[in-house]
Amino acid sequence: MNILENIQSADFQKGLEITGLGLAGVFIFMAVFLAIIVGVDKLFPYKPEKAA
Amino acid sequence: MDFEVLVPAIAFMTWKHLVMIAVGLTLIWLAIKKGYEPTLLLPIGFGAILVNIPFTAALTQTDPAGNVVVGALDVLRNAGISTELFPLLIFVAIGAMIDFSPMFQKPTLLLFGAAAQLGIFITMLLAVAVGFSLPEAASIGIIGAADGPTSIIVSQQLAPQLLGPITVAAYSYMSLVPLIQPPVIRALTSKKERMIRMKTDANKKVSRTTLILFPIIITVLAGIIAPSSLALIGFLMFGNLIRECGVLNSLSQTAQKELANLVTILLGITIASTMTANEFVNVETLMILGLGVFAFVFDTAGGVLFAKFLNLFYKEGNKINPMVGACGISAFPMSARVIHGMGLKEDPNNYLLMPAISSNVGGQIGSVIVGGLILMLVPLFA
Repeated sequence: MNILENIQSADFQKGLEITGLGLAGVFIFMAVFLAIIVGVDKLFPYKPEKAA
Repeated sequence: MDFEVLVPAIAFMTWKHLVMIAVGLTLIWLAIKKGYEPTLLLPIGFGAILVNIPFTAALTQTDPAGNVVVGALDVLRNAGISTELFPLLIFVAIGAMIDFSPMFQKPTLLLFGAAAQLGIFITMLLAVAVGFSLPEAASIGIIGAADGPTSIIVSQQLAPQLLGPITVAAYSYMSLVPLIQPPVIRALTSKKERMIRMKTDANKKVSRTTLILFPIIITVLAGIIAPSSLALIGFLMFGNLIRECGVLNSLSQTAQKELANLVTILLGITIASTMTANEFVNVETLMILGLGVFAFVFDTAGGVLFAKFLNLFYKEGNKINPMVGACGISAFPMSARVIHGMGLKEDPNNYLLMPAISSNVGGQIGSVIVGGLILMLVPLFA
């Protein structure tokens, strides 16, 4: 096991790219979810049910 | 007659088999005595014993006449794990159990469900650095999702040979959240930060329409952006829709109880079928177990540091308690309870449960999203 060699390997470089894309992707997803939650909550606010 | 013919199980028992039987007994002990994830660790522990007795009929064997006798656990593995059916059914059950309404109280906390996935990627890089291939490393990293079914699906697709140790690590460390998270949080925060009180609207109510639309919109959106995440997200959201629609209460209860219990029994013991001595007792397994701890540590650090980063922009009085960031993992509600407890320890009047739950729910969604992203990205690069 040669850690230095592995860090310079193509797999590690690809891993770095996946890390960048993955973290960016999950933040984008969550930001979109956040916008949806806020939007849907504004569009359909809670209204207390009227007593029959 | 030869000893080997009379008692082949004893004659062919090796030290590796004995190690695995000891592992099985340890898991059973942890489940019963310590209460660590008993619903899974107990079946996995018992299964580990079952499959490590030489010539066990629970696994496929060849009889002396040369005929192949199919073992029940292999049947279950092919039907439920190789097809990903069991973890997906568990997702239906989990979806039916999740109440997403706390997320609507402070939606920005959802972002911690992204930040606290940092450990997955750091661990993936560490795993590559110690010599694992990229698909194997990604599967090991996903232990940090703190989400058993996601770990199973990702490792089944990218590195099925590592399914056993990855699943055991994922479920074991999920149960060890109360031991893993507090020291990391204390190392990264000051007492003053841990005492920050958060404003939340605990009385905010969410309309039924919103709760019904949420799983449908999320499913469509996830499908458009990352179709590979759709099985994971879709089954989770399907379960949630059953819960929230209000007209399928009986199905919702069945999904939360009977379905969850039945699949959990089968899932645990089937996972154990991968824990045979030859596949499990090696240096790789020890490395995976070690890397799994890193995944949880860096997840926690990711959430805490992101909260501290956000606090640079928030005014006094609106700041986020950085401990809440650590709840962005999927271990629900364990992580939220741990943070709530830590908050009370620092200040007996500081109730962090609601924001912690919001962040924790975000972590449940985040872990599934990351699972889908990894399934999409790794094959593109590997």
